[in-house]
Amino acid sequence: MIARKWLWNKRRNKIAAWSSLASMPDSPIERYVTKGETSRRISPHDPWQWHALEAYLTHRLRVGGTQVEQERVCHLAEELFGSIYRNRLSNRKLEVRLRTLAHIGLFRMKGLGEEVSAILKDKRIDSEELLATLRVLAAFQDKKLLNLLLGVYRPLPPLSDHRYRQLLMALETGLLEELIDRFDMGNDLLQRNLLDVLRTRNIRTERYLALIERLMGSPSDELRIRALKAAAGFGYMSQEAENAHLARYTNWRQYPWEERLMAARLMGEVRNADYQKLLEQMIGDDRYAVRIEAAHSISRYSNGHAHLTRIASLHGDRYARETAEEMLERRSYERNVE
Amino acid sequence: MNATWSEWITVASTIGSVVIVVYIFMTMLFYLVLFFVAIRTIRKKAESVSFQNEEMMHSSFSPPLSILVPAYNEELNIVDSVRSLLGINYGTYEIIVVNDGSKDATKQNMIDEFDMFEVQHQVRWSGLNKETKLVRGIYQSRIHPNLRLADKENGGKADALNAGINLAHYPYVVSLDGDTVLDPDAFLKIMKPIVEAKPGEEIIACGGSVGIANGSVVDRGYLGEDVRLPRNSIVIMQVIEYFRGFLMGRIGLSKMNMLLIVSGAFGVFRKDWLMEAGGYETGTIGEDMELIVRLHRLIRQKKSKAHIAYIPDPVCWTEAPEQLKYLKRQRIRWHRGLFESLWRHRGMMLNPRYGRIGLVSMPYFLFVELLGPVVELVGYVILAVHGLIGDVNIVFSALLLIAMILYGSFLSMGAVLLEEWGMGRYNRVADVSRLFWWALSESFWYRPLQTVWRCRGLVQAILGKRQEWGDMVRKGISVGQGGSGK
Repeated sequence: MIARKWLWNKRRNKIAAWSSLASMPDSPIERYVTKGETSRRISPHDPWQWHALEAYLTHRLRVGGTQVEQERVCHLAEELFGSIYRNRLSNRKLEVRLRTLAHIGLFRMKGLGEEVSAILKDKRIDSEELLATLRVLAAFQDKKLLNLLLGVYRPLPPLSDHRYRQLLMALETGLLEELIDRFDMGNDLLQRNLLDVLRTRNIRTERYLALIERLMGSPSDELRIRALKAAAGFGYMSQEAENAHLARYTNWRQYPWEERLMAARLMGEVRNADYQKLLEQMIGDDRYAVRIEAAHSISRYSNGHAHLTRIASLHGDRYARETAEEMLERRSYERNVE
Repeated sequence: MNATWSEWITVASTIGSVVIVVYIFMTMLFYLVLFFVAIRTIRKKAESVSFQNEEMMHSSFSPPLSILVPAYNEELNIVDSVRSLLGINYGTYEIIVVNDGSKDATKQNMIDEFDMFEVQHQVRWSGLNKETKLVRGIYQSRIHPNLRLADKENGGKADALNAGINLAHYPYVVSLDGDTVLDPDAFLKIMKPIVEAKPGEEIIACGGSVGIANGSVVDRGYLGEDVRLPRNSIVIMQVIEYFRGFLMGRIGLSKMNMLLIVSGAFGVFRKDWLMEAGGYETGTIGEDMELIVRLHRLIRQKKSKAHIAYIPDPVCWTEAPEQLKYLKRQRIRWHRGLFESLWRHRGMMLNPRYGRIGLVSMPYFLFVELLGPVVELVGYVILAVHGLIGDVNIVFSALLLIAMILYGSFLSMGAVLLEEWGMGRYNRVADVSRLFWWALSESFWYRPLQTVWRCRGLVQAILGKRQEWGDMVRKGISVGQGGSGK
């Protein structure tokens, strides 16, 4: 064990020294990445150098740089590691294959596309490996992924929300728009997570807006709630949708509390004089989270402070008065008042 | 002494010797299974890539966390602990420090350091349906909007955590000790099993490995890159003990959903399950274990498939006692806590209704963890008796000695190996070598001490001594505190 530790430290120190030299602006690697100057000195000789180079290129790609620099890093990785990764994809150890797939995706090695797709043909594929393969397809912006997600070829095994998001977050807007068009073909999980990803990615297209406005009237509670949240993130609705929202939430008490909360949030983002009256009622909701969200939305209107002050003094509901007071207090100590 | 008595003693001690040897070898076998399960898990983890962690940091994708920090007389460490929390890599979280009636400057240090003011309007609502001691005031930081301090009357750690749960806004609650130093990626690591759970899978709690910070440099609430082994032999033995407990025991048990302990130093829980379980039990010492047992009970009662997860990664570091008298107090408390948890839930013991928890996990904690020291003590007594009556059975004595050494030292050496293969946190060759040799010495001094203390703990638990916050004189482990950082 001690010998192993000693050797390990020796190797680690060599890698650290190599990496610090490689990160110098005039090192062969850096000159290639920044100026495109090729050099034989980049090619590693010893096993530890291969490891160091892989780690360095991974790091170089993750710290950013220009588009051209990133392409050069990927090109270099494919040139040097392509055949190694090809062999590793058939390694009997799952961990090695998973690691390899992660790097293939990271370096966008499209030259290995066929080998990666071949993995999907195996009917006994491990779920971790399936996900890692799908992630590579997402990194390649491969349209096959959309059909896989929609279960065109065969049903996809259950994936967690987080897994769906990992895949969807990596897709470019064009592919996401294609998924918007085929939205109704997807399962519940895909639909929910697609909405979340579109919101997080701050996509602002007409197709997306049309989708969320349509889903705000969906029979599914979950989709309605997420659509409301997405609409609040979008910060805009067509006049028709605004009117429909007002009509629907006139009877706000009949909806689940999460939906009431999101409806209140949306009324703070898309400000409309008629919404203020509704928010004044919702500040007396029996759920604290909804009350405070309604108060927060009221505070976002131009006359919000005065409106909250009036509610704190005159509202018939004690909870509403206390919530308004709490919001006024919060606003007084928040440093960055909106 | 007449012949009959002598014969009786000989027969009794022979039977005792056989029982003890069989017991120790059975326990060894169980640990061996855990060891191999741990090796597989740790090797797998060592091969995984870390650069895919940060996707979780998208604030809207990582479940928001309420971090509860109960603090009692933590004036030395609290500011650094909170600072390290404010710098963690995670999306949305709030920090709630609960000052449990500290007699020192814990509260004032927090107020001064983070520019805190008292909040006038705060809805007090108990979702736990459990009374807590009076919360005297709630403070908010002007610098960090996600940092609050609840100042309450002293009621013990469990009561402080319950008060924190009542104030928590978010669906996941993290319990943390005031002196815990976190790994910057601790929350990403510990939330990973939760966010990656497949549909239908439900992870309601998750714990991770705890390391010992003594000897390493802690600067502004963070442990440096270089984890070091302290010179103090008592702490070294605790480091080894932690390896064994966390790397060997808990990995194996969690694989089979039989984990009964998520360390109080750092654990994450689903708030709705916490509420349903009734929060932490006040008036107990081992509130962390007791809660996990209760959650398991609830899982079974609801016929749920929920799981309590554990990750082998080191997620946080804590200061260990450096003097025997404080270590003794700590171990006595821990053992009393173990007894209380098992006693409180004795209805689950060997009860098929509770599946593996009732049939394997609870008996393991009873016969190995709780009664193990008693068996060992009996073993030492038998050896002494044989020596006194001049009837030393060479075969049994040798077997007993080998069993004891295997049970103590070899298991610890295995744990050191596991750490080195899987984690390799200690970079210096000298540290690894010292860990190895100290592990070998365990059976000859450290283990007997532990045996005596744990037996005392068991006696105290049976006699029902009152519980209180464990007191340990902290010298502070941060260089920012005027400490050496070591």
